[in-house]
Amino acid sequence: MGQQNGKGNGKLNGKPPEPAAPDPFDLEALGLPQDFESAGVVKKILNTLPVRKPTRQEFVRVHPTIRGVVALIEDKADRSEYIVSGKPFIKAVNEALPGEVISKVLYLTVNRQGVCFLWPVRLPDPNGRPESDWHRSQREAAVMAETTWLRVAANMSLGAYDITIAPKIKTEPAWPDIVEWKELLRTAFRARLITDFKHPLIRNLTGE
Amino acid sequence: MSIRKSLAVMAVLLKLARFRQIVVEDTEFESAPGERQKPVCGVFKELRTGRVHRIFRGDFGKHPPFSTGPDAVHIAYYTSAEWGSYRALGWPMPERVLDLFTEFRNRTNGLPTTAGGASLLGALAYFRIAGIDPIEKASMQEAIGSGTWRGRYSKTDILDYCQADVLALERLLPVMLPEIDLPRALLRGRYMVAASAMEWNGVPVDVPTLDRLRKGWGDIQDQLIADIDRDFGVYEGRSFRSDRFAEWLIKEGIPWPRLEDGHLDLEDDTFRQMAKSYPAVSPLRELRSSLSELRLNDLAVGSDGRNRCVLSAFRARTGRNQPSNSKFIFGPSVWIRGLIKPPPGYGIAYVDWSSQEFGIAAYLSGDANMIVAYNSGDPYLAFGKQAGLIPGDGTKATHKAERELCKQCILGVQYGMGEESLAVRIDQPVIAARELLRLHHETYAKFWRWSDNAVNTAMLESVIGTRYGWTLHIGGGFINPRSLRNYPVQANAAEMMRVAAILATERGVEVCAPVHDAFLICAPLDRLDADIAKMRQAMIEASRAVLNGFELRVDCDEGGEFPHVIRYPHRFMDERGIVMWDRVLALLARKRVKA
Repeated sequence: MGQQNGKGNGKLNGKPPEPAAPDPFDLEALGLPQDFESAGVVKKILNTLPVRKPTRQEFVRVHPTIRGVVALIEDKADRSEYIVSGKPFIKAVNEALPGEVISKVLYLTVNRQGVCFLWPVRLPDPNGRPESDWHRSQREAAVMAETTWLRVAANMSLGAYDITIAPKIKTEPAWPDIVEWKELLRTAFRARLITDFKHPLIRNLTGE
Repeated sequence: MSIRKSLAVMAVLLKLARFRQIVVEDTEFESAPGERQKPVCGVFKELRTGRVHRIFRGDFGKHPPFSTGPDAVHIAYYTSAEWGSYRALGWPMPERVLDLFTEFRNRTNGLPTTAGGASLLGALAYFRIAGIDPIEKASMQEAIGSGTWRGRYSKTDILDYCQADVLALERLLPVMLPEIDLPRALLRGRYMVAASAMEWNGVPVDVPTLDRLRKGWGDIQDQLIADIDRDFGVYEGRSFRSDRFAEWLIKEGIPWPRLEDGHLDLEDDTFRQMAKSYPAVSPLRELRSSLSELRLNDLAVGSDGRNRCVLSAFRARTGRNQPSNSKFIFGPSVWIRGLIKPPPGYGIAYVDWSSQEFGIAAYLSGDANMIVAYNSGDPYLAFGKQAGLIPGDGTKATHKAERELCKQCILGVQYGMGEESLAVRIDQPVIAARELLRLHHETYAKFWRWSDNAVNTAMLESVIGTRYGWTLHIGGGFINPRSLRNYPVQANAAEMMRVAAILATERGVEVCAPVHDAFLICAPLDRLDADIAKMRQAMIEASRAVLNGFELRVDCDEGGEFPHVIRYPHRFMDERGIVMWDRVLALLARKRVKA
């Protein structure tokens, strides 16, 4: 090894000291990331979105902002709901088939298993006619579900829905990556869209 | 030399430019079961100068022919064998090791290989490099290993054979080197030095009791069956009757997994898992595995009373060791560990990480709830409280059943169990198991996102690696999604073991054996406490390295009925094996009295 010169300038033999060689076994430097963030680009697509009420056994939460008002007709044969689209057409159907088109709010809802669906809830009658306790209690439950986990169960003798809340469940719901509302409707209803009188459901109802 | 060969050599010299010496080597040695190896010869070739040393027994000298300092890289195949020879010769360990076996395993882990597997011949075949005739190699290997080479092969024959391996390595190196992650390969090489230390040390065994066991085992098997089967009634002679076992299970109210054809699942792994939930099953499990697998004469114990066998480092997909079940005292029959006993003047200690896999999952995923649960000291109780199953002031004593459910859920998740398997394990309907798993998902949401990302990364990139680059390649056929999900935790646990082994052995601790998430060490009584502290420190540092600064707890309990610090003349005992051990020893004693 070289001798340090008399001037004490820290140099060995007039040359600047060599930097210490990096430790080839520096475990921190050798470590590779284990967060697997490259897979963060993987997204779960919401490609199935039922339109239904919550079952009596499941606890649900409602998204605070994602909802929309739609005009629906129910096919009583299988209880499936169809969207009626276009203001002039809705008006025409209302005139042709009074009472069949119902305006409902579709609330984006999720249960504790992370399954999403659209919960259709009837709006109050625009003409101010008194609404049933069924509709009122269901709408109240949907609003409450924005902030609290709850379940709704039909109470036949009461003529309304019983609401059971779960105040101890503090975890917030895990919402999927949300696309536009139109996209959600397309996913939920797919081909169940009525835009003219030629639709088989309308023809059935008009007796054609 | 052809141009192609020259370019290959230049590429090697370039990549290994920092090393003044590049030594490719192989040693041949005699190795009786349990004994330390006795070198017969070694061939060492330095690639820069082309100098070759062919050394036969008697001419080895006090020093190796080349530097073992940081200026030299030593290259061989499954190098713990070479370092065993170095230890036998009293040579210093090389500081820089490139093991082409570990690197071949890393390159092909999860992928199909040739019929030769990960042997040197297999690697040569994989890269289509000509090698030695396998039959000739096996014959030579057997003769040298068993010490019967005298009269069959000359010194020159053996040296030529040894040099053939060196030549093979010389051909393999330039083919493999471009894709070798050198810094991490050298870390893996350093572990092979540590592995050779553990293989060299071996586990101290109570030889007189082993001898008695070996002599009496054949005779006492029938009595053992009768003795243990008294509580079960499932044996007919030496045959296990599954129909009687089914009746016993019904009587005891123990649910048992079934195969697709409806028969009871009688795999040892199933027994092992079920014995954890239903300790009553444990003696039967021990009996079955002992009768079927315990070949006491296969337990490799040397003349110095040490159990030694090759640890088979990096053999498992996760990078874990895979020593022979029959040769290694830490095999599946846990009662046989009662043979582990320190020699006079010595003590042994079993030092383990606390809830290692849970801790790794917590810290690698960064899940705050999981970290809190780990740090509580009782992750099962903590999970119960976090999930709302156990009140905040609940304890292990006041909420034993709930804690047990949480424990089974956590362990089940670690094993990748679905709701149906968990339901069997906890003896509850599937809906209960489903709810437990849902609570786990909800409580440790960040862990599950991280786990999902790990699986997605593996499937997207066809590869997944650990903190220090141990890699699983996806593409060699069906991959069990559960094992993929478990991979980051299991494989990083193996990394942690390796780092701890390196640190402890290099700091002078006599590490006898690695045991999944623990180490057995041995020390003279006046040094035992200090060495335990060194081992603990090494394990803590290893956890810090793998977990990016976080530390796992390390235990080594001295108290209780089954202490982990044992001083001569006491023996080691695994709680799960005590019933079987006592019964066997009692039968032996009875046999001796009769004799």
